Amino acid sequence: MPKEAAPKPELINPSIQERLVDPERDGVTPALDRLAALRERAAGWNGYDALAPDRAAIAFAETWLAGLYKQVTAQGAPWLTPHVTSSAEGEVVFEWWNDPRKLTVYCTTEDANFVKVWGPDMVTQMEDGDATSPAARQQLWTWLTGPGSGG
Amino acid sequence: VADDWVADEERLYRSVRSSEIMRDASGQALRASSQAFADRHQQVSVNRAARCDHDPRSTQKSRSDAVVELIAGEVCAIRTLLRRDDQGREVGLYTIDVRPDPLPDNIAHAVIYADPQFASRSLFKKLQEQLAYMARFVLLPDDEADDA
Repeated sequence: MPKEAAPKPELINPSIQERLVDPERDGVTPALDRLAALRERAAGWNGYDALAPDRAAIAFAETWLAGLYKQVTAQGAPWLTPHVTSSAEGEVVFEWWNDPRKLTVYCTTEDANFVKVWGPDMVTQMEDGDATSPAARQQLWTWLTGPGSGG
Repeated sequence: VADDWVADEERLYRSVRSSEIMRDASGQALRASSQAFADRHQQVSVNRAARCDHDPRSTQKSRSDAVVELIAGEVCAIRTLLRRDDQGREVGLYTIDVRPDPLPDNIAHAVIYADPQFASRSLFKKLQEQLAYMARFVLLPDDEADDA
């Protein structure tokens, strides 16, 4: 008798699944699965003093990432799957490393903030700001995937 | 030890969960996530290699974790951060330092910290990025060993 596949963790936001035409073939699904799996993390998950990820932040991050995916694919641009993790404060963190550029996005329960990195110097080669709006998401993606050396 | 200090040439180890190892867009190169250096109190725990027989396994929190290495002098060379008051005026510099912080069960323990503590968390986030950029893997989880 064939083994049944283990059930995937369910998304907190069912509306995200509905908005995706075919989630199984969708490039964003692995990241959404990892997001859902963050619910399993307990305080101290990193071996140090990290808080457990905030469930409301996970829900916000699902919406934020699905929105970015829609924007990217609407333009026919290639999608880059982010590294998905959480911060010591319980925010959801997405990271893309498209050498020499790196983008980190922190999602709280109600907003998103970014750190752009194009070199190791935190004074001259990093920049931070708000990433909540669709326009901000679009600008960050253009920067991440654009030509040139970074800044 | 009251007069103890961390020398520039000292190597510092930090344990990194396998979930905090990321790959570049090509899927080839490995790098520590910025969250490998997360700390709610802006005091990044490390172990001094010289105080643990230069054995990264002594820092590894579990066999499935990696260990990264930083050079103390490179960490302390991050000294050019401007400190500003509420009106945005420059009032000094932040310095990044490494302080011995031996624990009852871990004499190798030390912490990386900003002096004074960052007023803004966004600065600590950038420090996490810079530490991730500087970190070098010295021990990988068993299932990642072939990918080094």
